[in-house]
Amino acid sequence: MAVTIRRLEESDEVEGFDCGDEPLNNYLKRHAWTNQQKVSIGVTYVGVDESAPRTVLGYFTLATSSVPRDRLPKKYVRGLPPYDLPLILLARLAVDKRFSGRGLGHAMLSEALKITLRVADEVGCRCIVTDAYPDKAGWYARYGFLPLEGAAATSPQRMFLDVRTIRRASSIDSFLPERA
Amino acid sequence: MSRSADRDEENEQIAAEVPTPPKSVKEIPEDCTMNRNTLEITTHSEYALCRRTPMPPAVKEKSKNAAALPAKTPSPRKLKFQADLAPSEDSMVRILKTELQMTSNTDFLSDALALLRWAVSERKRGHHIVSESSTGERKILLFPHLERVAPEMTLPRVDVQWTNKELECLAELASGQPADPTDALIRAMRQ
Repeated sequence: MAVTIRRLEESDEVEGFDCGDEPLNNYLKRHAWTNQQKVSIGVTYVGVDESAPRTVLGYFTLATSSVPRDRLPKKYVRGLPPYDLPLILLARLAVDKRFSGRGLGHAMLSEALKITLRVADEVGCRCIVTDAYPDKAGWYARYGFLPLEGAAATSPQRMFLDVRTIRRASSIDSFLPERA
Repeated sequence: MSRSADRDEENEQIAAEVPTPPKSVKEIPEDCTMNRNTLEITTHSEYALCRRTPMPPAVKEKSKNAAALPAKTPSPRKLKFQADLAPSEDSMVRILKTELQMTSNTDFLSDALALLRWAVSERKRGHHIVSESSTGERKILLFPHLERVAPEMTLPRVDVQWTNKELECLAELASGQPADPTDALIRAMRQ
């Protein structure tokens, strides 16, 4: 399977997509294109196989956000620049269940982090944040996402990854054996 | 050639353009035709019919005199609706029309439209469309296009909501030294 990751296009086939989670299916089928093209509040990237370049196998959505400086606790503000804290929100990430376990999630998160780094280089942002389902928090933690404590009991686990960590990872030259 | 002969020839040409009705025209309403696999509801406008129907020369002469009369308001042009149907859909339309004792495609479309309009208005108000069996078993209609008008559809919120504890944790992490990258992250950035 040769996967390509690119921006969602209007002619992409999304109706057959099923990741096993209805809100994530629903978002791709109903809102992703509108949010990207018409209201421009988030961009969706899709993973497609070269043999069927219109069939969406997985997707993720990125958006920008920020935290007002005056909402941050005073004891930490001194260590931060005197502006609102810009961040990238990894709003959605899902893989069709028929293609799970083939490294597609890894490939898409990899692309999301590379985009984050480009955005940080070009317009500036301090971190990437995602709301992970509790059973997926461990998967994000493997990539260095740190849990932010204090989420409501029924809410997903909010997780944080510093752009400086991503930048450092991209500059590491050492050899790492491929994961089995 | 005289003017009268000219008109006769013109009328013959127009008459030749008017399609001959099918033999089974009795089975088909005058205002619609249905081809195999094609649901075609044609509502000819009065105006179009007048243009294509040849008039006797005498009437034409009279109409010249009547030109001074106030113009008759043309009736609003009706919509022509045509859909190519798969054989199964074509069959479904025929079966439904039989069950509903409908002979006209126009009536069929009109009823279908009324039903869809009602469904859209109900979903717009946030109501669910439910069928309930005699034993009380309920099924909710989920129709992809219909769900697009439902008010409860959730849009991604870029305005992220934070609890105070989350903000404290975020500020602590963002203001401190960055963590070392994990192996998985290094692999991801190298991919």
